[in-house]
Amino acid sequence: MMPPTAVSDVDQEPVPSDIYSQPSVTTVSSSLPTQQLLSLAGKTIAITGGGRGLGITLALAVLEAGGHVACLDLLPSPSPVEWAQVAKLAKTSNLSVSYHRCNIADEEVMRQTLSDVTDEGDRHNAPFAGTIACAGIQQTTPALEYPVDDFERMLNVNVTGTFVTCKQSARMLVERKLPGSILIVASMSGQVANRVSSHDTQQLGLISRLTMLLMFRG
Amino acid sequence: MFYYLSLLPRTALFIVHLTNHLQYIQTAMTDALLQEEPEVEETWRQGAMLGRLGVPDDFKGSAVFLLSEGSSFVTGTDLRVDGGHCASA
Repeated sequence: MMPPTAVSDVDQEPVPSDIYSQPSVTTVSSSLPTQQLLSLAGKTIAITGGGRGLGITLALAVLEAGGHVACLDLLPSPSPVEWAQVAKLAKTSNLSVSYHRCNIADEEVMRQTLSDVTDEGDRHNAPFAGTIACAGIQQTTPALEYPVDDFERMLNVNVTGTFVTCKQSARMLVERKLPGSILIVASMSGQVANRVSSHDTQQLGLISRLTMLLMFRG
Repeated sequence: MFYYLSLLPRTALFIVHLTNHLQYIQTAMTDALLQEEPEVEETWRQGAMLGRLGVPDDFKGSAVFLLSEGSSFVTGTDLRVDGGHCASA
């Protein structure tokens, strides 16, 4: 038997040009042209912590990308200067933006709020397509003096609150059979040693727990 | 099982670093801290390979990408937006 010979790929027969248009190849949503691929047109996104800071900036980003936004926050009302920008952009782009006051650690309230957001999305013909879990609090206190109550309060908002946000968002998407994404904003402190606050342990717990939970659910 | 899995939303951890989350981003939350301890800003700045503190605008592109169809095959991962802080640690 002849020993195998090296085959030059240059000498190979060219691949038939119609191979990629064969019906057996799956068409996925990624087949859209790139500009549409990165657009959020026709989607409604919920953002927790959307009352100020990073959250409200991301609300602007969603609007600029063509999506509708629902900002959820504990604050009685959003940061006025940024909100004026958000409202103005929504108006000129003919997109909707709403503000919902809620406590992300309260599951019943979150369920209701996200249900309202989803219904709202349906009314605008822009179905709910996911959440950015951006709500969080921080406190810088020397470690040896850190009161347990404060630690627990931070755990409740940052970890439990984010868990509830993700759980109820995912539930809404699954119940209504909608495709979507859930983004969790977390801190590097969870992976790199840092001498700051209880933020660190919480973020680490948040990252690993939520990833496992959401990936292996079902 | 697989059908159910395909209904699951894509999840991505969007790691906001800016050298430690909101701590190293210039927002109202961190402005107060920087006012009290201005030397902290220099420490933070040196941590990031890109040589500056992050700002909330730095997250817009990544957030939109992860929410869009462009990331339809992206899940269970994190996108680190930290100016290179972790890479240089």
